[in-house]
Parts: sequence; structure tokens; C-alpha cells
Amino acid sequence: MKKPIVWPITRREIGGKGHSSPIMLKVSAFILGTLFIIALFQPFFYRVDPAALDLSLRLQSPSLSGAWLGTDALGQDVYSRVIAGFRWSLGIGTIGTLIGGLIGISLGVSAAWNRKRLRTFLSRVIDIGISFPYLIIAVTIVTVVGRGFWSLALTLGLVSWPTIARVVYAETLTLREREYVTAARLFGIGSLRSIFSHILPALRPTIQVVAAFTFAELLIAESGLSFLGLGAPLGTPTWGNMLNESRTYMASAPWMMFGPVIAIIVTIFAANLLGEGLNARERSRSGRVS
Amino acid sequence: MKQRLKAVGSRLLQLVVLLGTISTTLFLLLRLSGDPAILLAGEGASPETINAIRADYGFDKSLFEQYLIFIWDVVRLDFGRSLVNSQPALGFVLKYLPSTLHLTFLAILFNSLIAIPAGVWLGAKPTQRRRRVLSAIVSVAQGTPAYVIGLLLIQIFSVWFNWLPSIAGTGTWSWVLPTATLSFALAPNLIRVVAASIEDTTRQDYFRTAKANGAEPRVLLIRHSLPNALLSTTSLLGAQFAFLLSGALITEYIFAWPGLGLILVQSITNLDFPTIQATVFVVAYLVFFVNLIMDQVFRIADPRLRRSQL
Amino acid sequence: MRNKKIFSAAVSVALLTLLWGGQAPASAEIKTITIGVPGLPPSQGNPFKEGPGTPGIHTYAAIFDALTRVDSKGVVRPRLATRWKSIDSTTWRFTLRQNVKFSNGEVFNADAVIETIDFLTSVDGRKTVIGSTELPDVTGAKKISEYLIEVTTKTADAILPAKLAALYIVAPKAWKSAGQEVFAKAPIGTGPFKVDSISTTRIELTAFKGSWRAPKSDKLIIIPLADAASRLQALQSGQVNMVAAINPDQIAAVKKASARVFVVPAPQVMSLAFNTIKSGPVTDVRVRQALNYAVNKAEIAQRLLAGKGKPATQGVTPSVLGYNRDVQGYPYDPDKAKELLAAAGFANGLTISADITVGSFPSDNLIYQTVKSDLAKVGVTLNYTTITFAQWLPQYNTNSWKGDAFGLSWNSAPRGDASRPYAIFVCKPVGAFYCNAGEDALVKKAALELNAIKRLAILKEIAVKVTASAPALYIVEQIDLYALGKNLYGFSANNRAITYENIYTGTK
Repeated sequence: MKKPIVWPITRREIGGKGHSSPIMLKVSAFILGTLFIIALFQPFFYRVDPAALDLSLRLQSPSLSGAWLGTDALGQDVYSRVIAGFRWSLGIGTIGTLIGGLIGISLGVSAAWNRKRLRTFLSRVIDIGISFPYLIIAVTIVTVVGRGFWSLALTLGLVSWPTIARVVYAETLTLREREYVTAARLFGIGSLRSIFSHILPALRPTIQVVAAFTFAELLIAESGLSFLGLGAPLGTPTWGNMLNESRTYMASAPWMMFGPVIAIIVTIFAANLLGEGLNARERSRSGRVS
Repeated sequence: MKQRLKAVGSRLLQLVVLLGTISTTLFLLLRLSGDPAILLAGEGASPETINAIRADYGFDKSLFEQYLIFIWDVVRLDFGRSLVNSQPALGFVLKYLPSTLHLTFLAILFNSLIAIPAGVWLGAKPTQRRRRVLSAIVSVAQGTPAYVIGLLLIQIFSVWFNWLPSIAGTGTWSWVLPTATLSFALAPNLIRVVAASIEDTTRQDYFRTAKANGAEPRVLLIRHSLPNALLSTTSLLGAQFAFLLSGALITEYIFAWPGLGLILVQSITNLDFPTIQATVFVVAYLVFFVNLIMDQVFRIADPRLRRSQL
Repeated sequence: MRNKKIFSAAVSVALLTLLWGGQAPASAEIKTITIGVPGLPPSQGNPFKEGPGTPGIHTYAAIFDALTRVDSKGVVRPRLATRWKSIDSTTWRFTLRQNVKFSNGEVFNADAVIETIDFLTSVDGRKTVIGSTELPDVTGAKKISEYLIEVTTKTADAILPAKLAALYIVAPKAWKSAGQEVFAKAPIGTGPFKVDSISTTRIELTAFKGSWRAPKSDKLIIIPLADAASRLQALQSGQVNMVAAINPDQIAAVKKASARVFVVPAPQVMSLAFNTIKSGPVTDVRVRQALNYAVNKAEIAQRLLAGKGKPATQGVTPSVLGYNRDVQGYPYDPDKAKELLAAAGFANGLTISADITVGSFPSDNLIYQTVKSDLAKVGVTLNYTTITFAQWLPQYNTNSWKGDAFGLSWNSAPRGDASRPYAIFVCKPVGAFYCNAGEDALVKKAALELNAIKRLAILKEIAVKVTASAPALYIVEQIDLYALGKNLYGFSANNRAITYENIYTGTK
């Protein structure tokens, strides 16, 4: 006889085990805090100058006495380059997500909230955003603005908003029909206030999830853009660039890939953990989502 | 009946507006990006040759004139000939459509097969330890780019074990590795979205009521949670479909899969305007229909939405 | 008893081979060779629209022939023409090879060549790359007899036979009746293979056994695999027999897979050309020379080209006619570099900007980064921007560079003659980035000199002078790397043209 799954039904149970949410938050805060400090004080963490290339030290495997994560195809220290990539990669990931999130959420909510004409118009705007290949946007921005931190952040933001908008649109559609919202509208509470006091808070879990995975996607997308020659300038130590450079060396020098991949995974893990921690805290605070 | 016609009519209008806006935006962006005549003429060509080529393709006319000709042609689905291989651009692009759709559908299918059950499992009881482990694995998967997955899969299944081909078009199993690559790359996001939606439904009143009335967990999930989670799931799947049509180019690169992404990259490199326009047009057209289908799914999933016009 | 043992042993071996061998063993009748290349020619079977070189040449070498070809020593060899003679300064007479057929049965003779050259000089032909860039001087061809023609040029041309190595001869009736676009899908040439189908994933060709260079194999499949890593994996997994364009850093992996690496020096010098017309630090020849001394080219060639490349001493490579062995170039000497910079007034260093393209040569992105690092050691900051070829070409055509330097490859193929890079780059008629009247005069003199020995002497003199003026930072002589799988024999490549007819699989 299979053990029956016990569903959370009481307020306490919904909140999950009492101690889990603070731990998750603490751990994620710790990791993210460390990442933030490393980004701020990069040079302290270098083992050697990340830009120092030495052809006689090419492709060396990791060793405790020498390069901790090995050296890459130009003899540069992989570990130091990973550290050097913090500011850039975390920066464009965050800013890109912010840009994409702002545009996506505003469009998604507006499209789902309004009736008929405006909705159709805005949904089509979102559709245009989804159908337009990201490659063309990236190429246009690079041609017009050039390659650099801000153009890359802008590209990533412009490329990520359609998906965010779509998901937020769908979720808002559902929320809109929830009883309390309909009730609020019947009571004459204005649209804008409804949105801010009811919809947005209810959207928070969705936004958290979407923001987290968009952030992860953008970190990866940076390497895709490097692949196409549209990413960070040649030689800049960013995780995306390093991933791209390590492609042909996957079998012969896998450490070139480990460094940036581990950095990205840790960052994503921490971001997801933060999201889950916030969710758990939310769960334990209120028995129901308002 | 009249209602139906009106609905169909308005949809068609939306399609036309969509395609028109995209094509126009693209037209302008392309003219900003470079002069294909120079590229066609080659290194060290004389200005006369370049001008002759420009005249051939109508690039010497004013922007407005070019635009009018362009719109007139697009309306008749004539995208001209590719600047590079002189084949009719639309026909050339359409040749790549079957293999692109093939890979896209397979990727979406396997992505859903992996991600939806995993997401439901994760979302049903997110605090359980073993589900946390899955969450951690998903984080790792999110941090691994598609080409790493692809090259790894090739290394394992093609080089070491020689079980599967890594090149498109060789044998009946050449779709396996590229599909696996794309599915593993897209699944983590879908898992997260499904899990979040399912979890959200478990906190709703109707769910708790059903549970209090003694419903079985599996029934609860399938009949109550899943339909409501369907909304965000399908919307993400729709966005992923749109992405896969012309954006999976790194995977297509690695597996030499003849997809629209590859065509897009090549035509952008060669400043082959007609092919670029044709590709984007085809992609936009397909995405529109996928959105239509998704809207219907929305209606089925949430009856409350049937009232309002989507 | 013993027979039974042998029999069961044989069966088990066969089973194991089937299980672990992966690919089903090819039927003994059809011998297929498969090659993985970085790309297929975008214009498909139309050989006029591509510049000579990759990606087209991997495909065209199997389908077409030109009148001549240039070997790895820069000597012009017969191909579809067996002999040639200069009649006067603007006319050359060619004797054509007999008993050659096109793959559709048409006979190769003077008419075929005339048809091709007529197209070249037509309005449409002049818009193709071959007609406008490679052979702009050819004015026409005249039939003398069935296997004798005369080709005329606009100005005196001492090396027309070498230049004609870029012109593939197409089947005249097929070309005329099909027109450019249709011909591109079903090209007809005199080469060892005939196109069966051009699909989105590959080009399949069958042997044309009636070709004058009949192939040893029955079928050739050309597969585009744009990604270098997966190209190698295709070889390792046995899905292709050979691979073109591997990276120097993949050589070890190739050898580990019991495959062979075939290195061919390419007639190309990778350089960073200086925009000497625009005002700036690089207008001073001492600065240009200093930059040349500052870069450790030998180490780059040794370490980044797997020891197979060589530092560039001049604008051409040893396999090109006109290469001057006595020109030392600029060996690594950072102290001398600093000295020269100080003499030019830049003792405190300087900054230069450059536009470069990457991805066209093995390891070029690594090479540029190394150059930047070397220059930094003598106080020169090199700020480069990577651009696409589509952005590069317009700026190159009109010398509208905003920076001080730009990436430039000194390409002598397919004519294998030093006149090509020197004529193109020294005092380019439109958009010159470098001009020296004395050197230009020599270049023009070389074009008119019909005596081979005198001409060679002029070319060598040009090499000395141009190198001394350092219009570019010559970095390395490029290489082409091929990887050949087990059981593949007869491979050779000449100026990137693979001799497909000699390749076969099986036991030696």
C-alpha cells in the first residue's frame, strides 16, 4: 500500500517546514553577497593579471601550485579571467533582465488588462516581438552602436522582453478573472489601483520565476552572441567569451570550460535559491495568496 | 455566422498588419546595415561595376520608391531572387522549412515530455528534499549552454559509442542528438514555469476544497492543477517555438542541420536582403498561427476566458 | 573441429564489427569518399560569383577545370590548356587539350572556352567577382582552330596564363541554354565528378568516369560542417573520411584518433595593414618598422600554428613566384622597436586603432590578441574592433577607415604570382592605403615585362623595397590543415584545390 501523499492544508503546513525558508534565504544571500563582493573588488581576487598572455604556458591543466583552473589557448590564467568576468557578466545579466523585465511586464500586464482594441494592439506588439529574430536585433545594435558593455546589455534586454511579456500576459489573463479582482472592479476600484494592489503582488511568483530564468538565459545568451561575433569585444574576459573560446578545446582542454560554467551555475543556483526562499517566506506568511 | 466571419476577418487583418509591420521594420533596418552591391562586386571592384550591380537590383532608386516596389512585391509573395544564389528567395527559404519544423516540433515535444512531468512533480511539493535535488539539477542544466550539451552528446554517442550520427541527413536517427540537445537546453525553463504554476494552484481555494472533499492527489493534480498551469506553460512553449524557428542556429551549426537559423545567419553575413526578408516573413507567419492555436488552448484551459475576446 | 573454431571466430569478429563498428560496412561496389568542409559556395554551382578560394574551391575543384593551374612552387602548369605563347603584349595563344569531355557529353574545344570568356566579358559577366576583380583586363577570345585560341587583354599582361587559373570553363551549350541560375543547380564541367544533387545538407556527386582526370572513387559527398569542433567529431566518428580546415590546436586530437594531418602552406600572408594615407603615427615609416620588430612572429608561428606556420618576411610566401629568399623581414627585436619609436618621437608610447576580421584563418583571433600583447610590451596600445567582411569591404574599397590599421590578407592565389598582392595593394587606383611612386613604377614594369627571368628580378626588387617601407605589419604565412581518416589514400591539395581524382578509400 503506497504511502498517501499528505497535502498541505493548514496554514502551518502550507508554509512548509518552519525552518526551511530562513535557511534558503540565508544561503542564497550569502552566495549572492559573495558574488557581489567579488564583483566589486575583482582585482583582489586575481591570481595573476588576467590579461597577461604567455604562449609558452598555453593549455596547461589545472594544478594547485600553478594555475588553479589551468590556462587557456593564449596561456592566460582561467581562474583570474573568471574573476575578471564577474562585473561584466553579472552586470549585463542583471541590467539585461531589468530592461527585459520592465518592458515585458508593462506590456504583458497592459495587454492582458485592457479590453478589446488596446488588448489586440498590444498583443500584436508582443507577437511582433516574439516573431522578430533576435539575430537581426543583435546585428542592428552592433552595427549602429558598436560592441561594448551597454550595447550588449541593451541587446540582451531587447531580446528577452517578448518571452517575459508572453508569460506575464498569460498569467495576468488568469488573475484578472479571479473573484477578488472582479469584486474589486465591481466595487469601483480603479484599474491602476487594482493592478498595483492585486495583480502585481499575485504576479510576483511568476515574475520571480521568469526573472530568474531570464537572468540564467541571458548569461548563456552572452556566449551565443560571442559565437556569432556580436558579443563582448575580442579578448574581453567575460564568461560568455570564455565559453565561446573553449568550444574547440572541449575535449583537449576541458578546464577552459569549467571555470565559466561553474561561475554561471553558481550564480544561477543562488538566484533560483533566492527566488525559492522568498516564495517560501511568502508561503509561511500568508495562508493564501491574495 | 456573421460573428464567425467577423472573427476570421479580424484575424486576417491582424495577420496582415503583423506581417506588414515586421517586413517594413526589417526593410528599414536592412538598408541601414550595409550595401549588398559592394559585397557582390567583390574586392577591388570598380565603382562602375558596383553601380551597375546596384542598378540591377534596384538599390539605386530612392528609399521610398524601393519601399513601394517592395510592398507591391511582398503582397504577391514575391521576394525577388537571392542576391547570392539567384534562386527565388521565398522558394529557397521554404526548402529549409520541412527540416526546421521537423526539429522544432520534435524539440517541443520532448521538451514537454521531460519538463511537464518534472515540473508537476517539483511544484506539487516543492519543499521536499528530493524535489530540492531536482531543483539543483535544473540549476546546473540552466547554466550549461546548448552547444556544450550538443558537443558533449556528440562526443559520447557519436564518437565514443558510435551509436548515433551527428550530421543531419545521415540515416534515420540523425534527429535524435539535435532534438536531445534542444530539449535539454529548453527544459529547465519550462520546468521552472510549470512548477511555479502548479505550486500556485495548490494554494488556491478550489484546490484545497477539492482536497478537503477527499480527492486523490493524482486526480487533484491532473484535473485541477494542470489545466490552470496550462496557461503559462503553453505561453512559454509558444515563445520557445518562435525561438526555435530561427534562433536555434548554434545547434544547427553543430549538427549541420539545415534550418532557418542557419539561413538567417548566412544571409545576414552576405547582406542577402531578399532571403532575410523571406525568412523573417515565413517565421512571423508561422508564429502567428502558433499563437492562434495557443489562444484556443487558453480558452479550453480556462473557461472564464471564453467570455472575453482574446 | 579446427574449421568450426575458425568459423565461429570469424562470425564473432563479424558480429563485433557490426556492433562496434557503428556504420554498416559499405557495399564493396560503391566507393564513396566524404569530406567535411566549413561551407558550401553560397552561389552553388555558379563558379563566377565566388572569389577564388574558400568556400567555393572545395566544391569547384571536383567539378570544374581552368585552362591552367599554378603549383605549389608558383609554376604555371597545363590543365585544359597544354601550351601557351605570348603573341604580342596583349595577346596570348593557348593550345587546348584534346579528348576532353564535359560530364554531359559535350566536347571540350575552342568553342567552349570562347563561350566562357564571352560570358566573362559580357555585361552580366562583368558583374561577377571573376569578371570584375580577377580578370577585369581580359577583353575577349578568338578561335584560331578547334584546339587553338587567342585571348586578348586590355593592357599588356605578362602573366595571363597564371591569371586564367581563376577561370573555370563551363559546358557551353548547358551554360547557354540554362542560364546562370539554372546552371547553378546542375553545373557541368570537365572535372572528375558530376553533381547529382545539391540539397540543403550536402552536395552529392557521382564519378564522371569519362573525365580526362577520371576519379578512383565512385561517389563524392561534400558536407558543410561549419563548426570546427563538430567537424573534427564527424571525422572521429567515421561519418566523413576527411575534413578541411581544422585548427592547429586540433592536431593532437586528430592524431589520437589515428587519423593523419595534412598541412599545406597557403599562399597568403596575414597582416595588419597601415593606413598611411590618413594622418597619424603610422605615416612615419619608422613607426611601421618598429611595430614589425615588436611582434614575435616566430613564436606565434611556432605556438599558435602548431609549428607548421612560418613568420612572414614579406608580402608573399615561398610558394609564390616573386618570393625573395634574401629578404629577412623583421625578426623579433623589441629593443630596436623601442629605439625606432623613440626616434620617431614616441618614446612614451602611442595608441593605434585597427579594424580586423576574424574567423578566416586558423587561430587568427588568437594571433591578433598575441600581437596586441607584444605591442603592449613596447609601449604601443593596439585597440582593435572586430568587424564583419560586409563592413570591411566598403571601407577597404574607398580607404574610409577611421582607424590607423586594418586586417589584410596578402593573397597570391590562384595565380601564385607576387604581382597580385603588390599590384592590388601598392597605389590601388581607388582607395589606396599606401602608395610609393617608385615601387608603383616597378610593379607596372613587371606587368609589362614578358621575359620571365627579368620579370622575376623585378618582382624580387619590389619585395625588398616594399618590405623596407613596411606598408603592413606582416605576421605569419598562413597554412591550410586537412585531416584524413584511416584508410584514405591519395590525398593532395594544391592552392586549396584538392585533387579529388586521386583519392580513394581502402587498403593501400
